[in-house]
Amino acid sequence: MKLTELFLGILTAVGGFVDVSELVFMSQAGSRFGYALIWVVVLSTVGIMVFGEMSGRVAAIAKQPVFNLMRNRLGLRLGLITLIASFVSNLITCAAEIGGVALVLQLLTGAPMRLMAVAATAAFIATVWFLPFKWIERTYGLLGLFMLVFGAALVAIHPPWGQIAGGMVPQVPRGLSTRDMIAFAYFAVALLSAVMFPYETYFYSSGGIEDEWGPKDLGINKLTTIVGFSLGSLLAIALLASAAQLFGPAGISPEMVGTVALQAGVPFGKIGILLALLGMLFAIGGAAIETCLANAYSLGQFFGWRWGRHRPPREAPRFTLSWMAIFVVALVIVLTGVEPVELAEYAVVASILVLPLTYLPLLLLAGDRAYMRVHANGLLSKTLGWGFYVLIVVAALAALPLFLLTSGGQL
Amino acid sequence: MVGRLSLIALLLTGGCSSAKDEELAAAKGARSVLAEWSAVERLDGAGRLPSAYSEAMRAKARETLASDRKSIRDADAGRTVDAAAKVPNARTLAAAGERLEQAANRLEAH
Repeated sequence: MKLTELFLGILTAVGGFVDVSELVFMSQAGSRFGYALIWVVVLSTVGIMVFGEMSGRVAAIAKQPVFNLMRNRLGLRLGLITLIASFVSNLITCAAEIGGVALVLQLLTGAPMRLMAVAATAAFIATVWFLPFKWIERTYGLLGLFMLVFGAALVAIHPPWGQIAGGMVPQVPRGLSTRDMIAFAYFAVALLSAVMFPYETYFYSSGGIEDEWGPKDLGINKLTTIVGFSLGSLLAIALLASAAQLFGPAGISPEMVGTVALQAGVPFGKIGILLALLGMLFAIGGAAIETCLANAYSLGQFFGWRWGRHRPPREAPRFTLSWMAIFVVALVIVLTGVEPVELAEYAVVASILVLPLTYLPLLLLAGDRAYMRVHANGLLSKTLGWGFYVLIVVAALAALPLFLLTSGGQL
Repeated sequence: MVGRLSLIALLLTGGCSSAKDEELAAAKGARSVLAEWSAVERLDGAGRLPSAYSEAMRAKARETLASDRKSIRDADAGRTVDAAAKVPNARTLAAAGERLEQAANRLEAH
């Protein structure tokens, strides 16, 4: 039973690792800078492992979700600022995901995108209403495994494996112009943000509380974050490497979400495109639900409402109304006609600004022996945690100027 | 603190974004869309794409190209985009993409 749980948890983490921002940014980064940014994906994956494991451990031991901690540790004023900032960032992300799903449905069926956005939102609301928490996660995570076709596609196009391995070594390509150097820095920050989205820890830790984790689940938590995120990261690297191989030489820096599916279409034809689109549909769809629920969790935890999908809706009415309203507002954003790719660009910048405020209280509590007892951060977690914290603060400071200087990576 | 610094950064860099940058971004965007569209036509011509996918990609490419075209003031680049959109086959789109890349390089050099 434990092994099945672990296996499903890992597969779910793999299938749910990639979202619309990663699809876009991995492909654009690979197309523009070849394999030179792979090390950023590797580094960011270690970062999300560290903070993901920490948030799961805090949920299991202190029974505290991230937003409870924020209010307690940052105080009401700073906690409220963090809540508003993360709410806006998650809402933009949720809209980007709904827009991405609508685009994929349009590519699969040929139906108008706006109609597909409405249908997708209705399907998400029905999913969250009817399915138990664990099955929401698993359904989308497991069906998101269709994305593995991107890994198979990379193998099929016979990439230069040596160069891909070389991309894992931290580097800045030689001979870049100043403009390209700034763009390289922008993509580095964007990839870091796309991999370490704050909603992932909100959702993961709240999920731990929904599933009533305790000390016995710490092993599963550690393995899920380490193995699941590592394998998910390989998928992200496959997207980047395929783009470097197929898109860069053709002058493609994907402006349209659907272009990403060509990575599987080139080696496998129609079946490759269909599998890629199905994988994208469920991976992005899962992210839409996660961002929406992450926002509703944040509101419920911050204001002390009864929250959680483990309660029937009538027992958590404000939480239930919140997630429904968040879906509807995100849908309205999509219906205004903003491009999902553009929304994804705003989402990664907004998210990196929120990351330092998200991870500080988590780091403080995970290291606090009064709450965590023998499960408090050890030397390794402490060193990695604070090391990554400094990194995300620097990235947060650089994100907005880089976004503006590169017109969102276009220059 | 982060918010305040971000605001300062926004004010400092806001003035740096010019119409020239906007045109360059549009030219680079259009260059990519032409290459993406060309790849779709090439694979579709070889019967390797589902028809709903090809149709939706064509419509999206046309729409994105029209949007980028609005910011392109360079006469040569504008003509290239207009001509490619009129006869969208894999070869003309790919050739137009390469011409647009040269135009983008010119814009970048100025």
